[in-house]
Parts: sequence; structure tokens; C-alpha cells
Amino acid sequence: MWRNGSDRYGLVSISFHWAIALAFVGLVALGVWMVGLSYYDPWYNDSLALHKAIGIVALALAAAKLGWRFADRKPGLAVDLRPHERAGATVMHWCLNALIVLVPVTGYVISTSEGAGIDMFGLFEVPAVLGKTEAFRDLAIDLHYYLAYGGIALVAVHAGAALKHHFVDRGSTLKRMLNPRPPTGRRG
Amino acid sequence: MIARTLAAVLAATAIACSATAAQAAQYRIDGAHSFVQLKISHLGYSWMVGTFDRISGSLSFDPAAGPAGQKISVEIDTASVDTGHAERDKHLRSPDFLNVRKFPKATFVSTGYEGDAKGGTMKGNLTLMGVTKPIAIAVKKVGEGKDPWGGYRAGFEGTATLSRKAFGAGMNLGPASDTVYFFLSVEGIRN
Repeated sequence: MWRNGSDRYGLVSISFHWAIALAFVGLVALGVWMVGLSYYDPWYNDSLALHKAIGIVALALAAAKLGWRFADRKPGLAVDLRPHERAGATVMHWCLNALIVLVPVTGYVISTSEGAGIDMFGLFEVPAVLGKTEAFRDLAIDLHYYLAYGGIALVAVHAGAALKHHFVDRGSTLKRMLNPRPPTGRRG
Repeated sequence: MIARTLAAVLAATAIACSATAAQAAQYRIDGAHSFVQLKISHLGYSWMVGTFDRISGSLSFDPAAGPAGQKISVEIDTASVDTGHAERDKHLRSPDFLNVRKFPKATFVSTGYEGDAKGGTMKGNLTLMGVTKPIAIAVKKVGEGKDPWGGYRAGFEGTATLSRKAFGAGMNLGPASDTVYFFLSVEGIRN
């Protein structure tokens, strides 16, 4: 139930997947919205504070997800996938795993590049650990931007592929990520 | 052979000495001891203060030559804007403000000086965000003399204001925040 099986995802993996999916898509949407706000918008400051704090939560989730990924057994890909689908899915999963770490890490580097920590909803502060290096900061700014937008494109492909397997191929991939005890799918 | 080499060395030394005499009033700006500080009203309630950390250039300070002997040329690295706040500095470097990728340098080149050896008005052209406008800087000499390391230095301070609108403005920060106040502290090392 909680842990992965040889051919199914457990509740822990499923929870990480959807929590991070929600955080990633929500943070990109929040980021796009907040940079367009006028200086006099009531959300001008709070939107960024929320983006930063939720971003740190997303990074913690990503770290925990990857830790769990290596601690728990890895279920095989759905048996009903074709070889090129298996290859594509594997590459996509590793790209997404890298993105959910790199996007928040580069955001952290930007926000802490002048020594200030990140306020977590007024509860505590995540300290700045890196020194002030402009080259690193400018690289982080570019990476944060392009990886976030590129990431959303990959998420769209990932979700589109999952929906295609579900609705067109009548496969089991989406069910596996919704139900820890899915009925075994067979391509018809 | 030796005589000819000696003559050449002497000639070269003489040329170098005369060149030094002619450039006695030429100074290079010491970036480590020169500052361009800016302040701008925040909402009309307080001041936002920052600096451009990297400036370079040269100046000519020759009181004996009168107003024509006083010149300055300064280059500011716009990406070096530093207001002590990471996200604000990122925003200031963006196209909403300084647009530093497109306009990495801001320059001031003097066109004329009115005043004496103690102070006056330095007029010149400021190029900022691709827009060139004449501005006037109220300047005064802070001091000059030998430094402890074998050089000779002269320092000046100046104030100037500019309208953000006149230079293309960018993001609207409200009615109180159009004027930017500059305080300049420039130290030259004599060549």
C-alpha cells in the first residue's frame, strides 16, 4: 500500500508525484503572474514571498521524493508500453527529476545571492549558504528562467503522453499513478 | 656600438620624461576609491539608496590651465548596481529598469567646466540606457596630494539629478520616484 510494488507505485510515491506536480505547475504560474504585477499591486511583495517559501517546500519535497526513489524498490514501467515509449518515458522521468531540483535550487541561489535568507511564511528563515558571486548569480537567473519554462513544456508532454496512453491506448500508466492497487492493464 | 645604445636609451628617457611632464594633469580614476551612489524616493516616504560598484575612466585636473584644463570621462558598469537586496538588484538589471544586457555601460563625458580649482559645474553628456542627454554636475575638490605609496592623488565630489522619464523610465514607481539623486565621489591617480 505505502511502498512500491514490482509493478505498481505505493501511496508514498503517488503522493510525492502529485504534490510536486501541483507545486511545480503552481509555482511557474505564480512566477509568470508575479513578474507582470505593477509596483502598486497589493500582491507585489507578497507574491514573491510566497513564491520563495513555496519554492523551498517544493525543493524539500523533491529531495524527499528522490530519497524515497532510491530507498524504495523501483516499479517497472507499465508492461503495456512499446519499446520507444519505454525509452521516452525513462528519459522524461530523469529530466523531470532533474528539473524539480534544479529550478528551486537556482531560485534559492538568486534570492540568497546577496546574503539574505528566505523567510518561510513568517515562521522561520532558511539561511543563505553561498557567498556573493555575480557570475554564479547571473547563471542561476538564466537557468531559473529557461528551466522553468522548458520544464512546463516537458510537463505538458509528460501529461499529454499519460493521457494518450490512458484514453487512446487504454493503457494502465495513469491508473498506476492514481491508485496504489491498479487493475493490471493490457493493451487490447 | 655601446655608445649608440647609450644614446638611444638617453633619447628614449628624454622622450618619456617630456611625455610625463605634458601629462602631469592626467589622472586615471581609482575604481576602488570612487563611488557612484544613487538615491530615489520610495513612495515619497523614504530613500532607497544604492551604488554602482564598478566605475572607471580618466580625468584631467589642471587648475593652471583654467576651465579648459578640467575634464572627466567616466564609464559605469550598469550591472554593478547594488542596493543590498538580491531580487531588487535583479529587477534593476532587467529591461524594466537598466536593461544591462542591452546597455552594459553608462558613460559621462564632460563638455565644459565653469568654476575654479575648488569647485564649480561640470557639464557633459550622460549616456544611460542608450539615451544621451546633457546634465550638469555640481562638483568640488575634496583634496589632493601625495599618497603613501609613491603616487599623487586628487579627489572630487559631485551631485547631480536626473529624471527617469528623460532616459526612458521603464517601470512606473509612482509620482515621487521619477527623480534620481546622484552623489559621486571620484579619486584620480596622476599618471
